[in-house]
Amino acid sequence: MRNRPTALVLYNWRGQWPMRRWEHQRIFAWKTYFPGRVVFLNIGFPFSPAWITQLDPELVLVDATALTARYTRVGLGGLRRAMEAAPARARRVAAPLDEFLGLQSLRDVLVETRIDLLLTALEPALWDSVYPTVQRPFALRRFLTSYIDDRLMRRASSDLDRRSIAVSYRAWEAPAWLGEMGALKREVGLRASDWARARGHRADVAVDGERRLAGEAWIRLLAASRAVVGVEGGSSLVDPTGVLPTGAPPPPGGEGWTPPDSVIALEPEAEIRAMSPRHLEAAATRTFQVLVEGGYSGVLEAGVHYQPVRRDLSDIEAALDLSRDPRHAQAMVDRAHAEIVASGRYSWRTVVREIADQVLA
Amino acid sequence: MRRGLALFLRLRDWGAWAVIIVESRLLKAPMLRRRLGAIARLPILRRWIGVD
Repeated sequence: MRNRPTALVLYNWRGQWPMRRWEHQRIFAWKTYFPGRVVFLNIGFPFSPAWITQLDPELVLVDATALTARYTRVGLGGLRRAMEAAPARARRVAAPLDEFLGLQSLRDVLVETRIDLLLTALEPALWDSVYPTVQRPFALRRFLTSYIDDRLMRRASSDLDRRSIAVSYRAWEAPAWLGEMGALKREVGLRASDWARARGHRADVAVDGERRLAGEAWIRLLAASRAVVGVEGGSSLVDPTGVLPTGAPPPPGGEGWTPPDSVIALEPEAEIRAMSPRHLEAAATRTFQVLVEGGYSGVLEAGVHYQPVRRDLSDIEAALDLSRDPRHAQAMVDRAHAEIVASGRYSWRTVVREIADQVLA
Repeated sequence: MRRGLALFLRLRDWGAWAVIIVESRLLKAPMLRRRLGAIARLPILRRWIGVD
């Protein structure tokens, strides 16, 4: 191995600009924190596989966007061509998201492209069912949907009682194929909006993809808000064969929609869930988090780092009222910042170094 | 050789981002879409900037 290893990051972006902050971070954090040279290749544009062969990287990292193509009309042809051209000695790392969609094609491409290490946000208890050991010639490592970069870590934030917005929230169109968890994403925002209206507070809440915020605009909103509501990311449905209509927006909340026979509906205790990037961002801006109770990838602890509410949202008003209690709320956000953000445990710097050490050792 | 290739790939990536920004923002303006359509006569350019 040369002194400074070369990493090639394969991603596929032909979408919106600006990107959501965490998506941009997930791709480009490698540039900042990888101990070597990093080259990026956007396979959403025409490319020659010979470039990859000539580059001869020690590490090939397949970003989630390059794997997302499995359930869009783009397909995985570009990724297969790119990986075939990668040198045999290169270590191969893949970091998929939304594994509940097009699961079988994901499993197939991971084997076919000879992935060495899979970075997954799934709970370890689900690993064997999602990636059966007989079809798993790769190692697995827990990888959050996002980490904290140095800039966000250093960001100063005002005390809660100086913030002008009582509660904020954004949710995209929750498609029926997310199952009950999708409906909950919408409902939690509507209930927060109702709470603010009833109490005469200012809210900045939008669901169904309205008033989308990208880049720093989302961070600024969080930093101007006393509280933010939320729920874990994930799905109540698993689509092994890729039949869900991910390209077309089905009715929000799933009214009048029945999943195809091949789709597996999961019990609440077996749902695929993970902490969303926004929960780390809210910890970094010291915003009081009122969240539907859950595991939050083992990072956030109920009652310690966030105010939990029951899944039926019956106590969401009482939890939001606590955001107006300056001592309780300020103590909780300061604790979350110290333990999750300032500690550096969940920083891009730490995780990129650890992964590089693991695969290039 | 590798250094030249890395530079080329970096320039390509920047070019791709320029195209993404044009596609997602400026192409909403009909006048600019027409102008770009006229400029992008070469097939490779047409494919890159996604103008039909």
